Amino acid sequence: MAQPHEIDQKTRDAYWKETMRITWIILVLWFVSWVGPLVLHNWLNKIVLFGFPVSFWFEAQGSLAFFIVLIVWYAVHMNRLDKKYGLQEDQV
Amino acid sequence: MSWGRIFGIYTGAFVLFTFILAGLEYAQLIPNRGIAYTYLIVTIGVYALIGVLSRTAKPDQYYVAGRGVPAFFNGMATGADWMSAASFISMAGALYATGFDGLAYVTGWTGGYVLLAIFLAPFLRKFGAYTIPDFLALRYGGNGARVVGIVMAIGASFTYLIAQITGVGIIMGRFLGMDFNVGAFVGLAGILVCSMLGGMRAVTWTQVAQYIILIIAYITPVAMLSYKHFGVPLPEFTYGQVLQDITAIEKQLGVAKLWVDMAPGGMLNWFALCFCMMVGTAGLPHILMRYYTTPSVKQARDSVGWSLFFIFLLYFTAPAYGAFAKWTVLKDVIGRKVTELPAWVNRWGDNILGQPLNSLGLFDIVDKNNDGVLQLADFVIKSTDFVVLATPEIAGLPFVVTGLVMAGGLAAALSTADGLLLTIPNALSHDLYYKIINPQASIVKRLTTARILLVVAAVAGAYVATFRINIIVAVVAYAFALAGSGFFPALVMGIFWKRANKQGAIAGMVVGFLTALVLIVLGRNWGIYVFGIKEIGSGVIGVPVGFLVIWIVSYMFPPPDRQTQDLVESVRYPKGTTLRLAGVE
Repeated sequence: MAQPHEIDQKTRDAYWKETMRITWIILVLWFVSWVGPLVLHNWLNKIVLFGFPVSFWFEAQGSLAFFIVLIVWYAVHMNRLDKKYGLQEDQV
Repeated sequence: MSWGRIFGIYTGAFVLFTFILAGLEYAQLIPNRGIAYTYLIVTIGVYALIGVLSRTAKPDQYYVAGRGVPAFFNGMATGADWMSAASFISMAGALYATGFDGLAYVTGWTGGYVLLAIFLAPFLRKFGAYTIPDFLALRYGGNGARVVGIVMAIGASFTYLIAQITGVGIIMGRFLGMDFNVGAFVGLAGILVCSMLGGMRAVTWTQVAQYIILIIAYITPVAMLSYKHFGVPLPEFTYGQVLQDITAIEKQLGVAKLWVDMAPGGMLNWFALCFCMMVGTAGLPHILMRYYTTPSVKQARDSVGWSLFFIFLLYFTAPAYGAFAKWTVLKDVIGRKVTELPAWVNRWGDNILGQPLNSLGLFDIVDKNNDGVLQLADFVIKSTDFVVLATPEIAGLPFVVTGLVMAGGLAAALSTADGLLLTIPNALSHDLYYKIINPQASIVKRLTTARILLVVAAVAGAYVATFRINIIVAVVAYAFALAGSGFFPALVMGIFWKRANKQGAIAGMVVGFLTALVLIVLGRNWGIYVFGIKEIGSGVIGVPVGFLVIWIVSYMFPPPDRQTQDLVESVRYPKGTTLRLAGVE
């Protein structure tokens, strides 16, 4: 069975670099998505869309849905990355 | 037959069963208590049946369900594992009471899954251990990190477990009039049959079954309430209308802080609480453990998405629950004459206008100034749990829906208890007994130990629950600060920083945990708040302290050996095996 050290260091480093990149991007988007509507609460809550004050809606539902989008994005991206570098797991 | 097919049929059968009970109620062939008992017996019977069918004698089945749980079903099981009695019964009530300020829980208890997805789940799966202390021990070497992990895992899980058993006892009391202690032990028996014979394998499939019941039970009443008022059974979208009405009525009544607005100056503590719940989510062992059970790293990634989707279904409905209840009270109770109160107050109220109706009632209605009209202060809430419990009657639904809510609350409490109850004996039997005390133990001996400890932990949990210690409920909230500050930094650094060593990890876990603990004690007992942060959000300080200590102390000692660094390297890529590198297998 192939061990990771059989794959050359260059490939592994490139893979990990890309992994760290998407990790940081998602971490930042995650933070902004729930802290943004909080910090701008007084201002955003005056705006009402479809009956929902905007800050309230984000913290009650909007950010939650966005969290799912982030996780799905990460999974799709990483699964693709595995294939690109030939690092997907061995078939059992 | 595929799992999808089995659970499809199961869902259909459960819905049919509910309709049959509704028919019997309509024909007046069954009393209310009969409905409640039928739900109790049938659902616990089903869980027990799954438990017995899933019995196993293989360690990998017992500890990690043979790593054969597909992403979709692991997501459902995690959802049930995660959503406790507090999420099901109390969260909407907390929103009713606090409005925007309570949303820190809604966002906090979902946002943690993003951290889980990008920092932990796929890597822990690749690592392929059995428990969280296992990971700490192999990554950091020696038994020091393992022992610290065992103590923290048991501490967090045990308090959480007591809260679940308390929840079961309360539900049984409210719906069946059962004595609290009897209810707690009946629930306990249900949990034991599920988990003892089949370990993780049985618990996983039971949790899937429990998720289906709890989500149907949670959404049905408020969907019907939305249908009644707006003709659309989608409360998550129609409650915008309700919010506007609430604001209009509140302005008319001259309420200072509107329900949809934040309490003045509350921003820092909102942030702290939300952050703490998120990191705590990603640090609770009974949740982390679930990602050991998927067949692959890819499925572990997908599974976090499914987990949050199934959790989302409940959490994005909760604000609608709170809003509809708030609206109903403002519209149908406040400002009304005492002679025209709606019927639902009689079932869930305790003392209504001087008449003691129900000693377990959740609110009182008193006409304080005797003007025959009810003011805001005349509706005295004793437990905001009435929000979820009374909604079926507010929506004018038959009692069978109330019974359904009971079954859902029970499923939520039992499924969380199942997961917790595996974490405690596994930490003791696998990590303490097998890995430290007796590494030569045979498979039979290990599993027997695990099962005996499971029963001991369960009985101990139920016994402590019977004391009804008030502090327990608060302690559960603190478990997030403690688990987040203790576990999260050591786990993340273990994967993302090769230089992290044993000394750094142990120091970080202990200091992070103690920082949170000291802040909790200071805040709770003496009202001393560092930076003005309330004790429940103390993880916002404990977590960075944990990271910082690991970083500094790691640099004070030599880097980990070559083998450990290879191990970290191997965890980062899905290809290849990991445990062989660690010298285990």
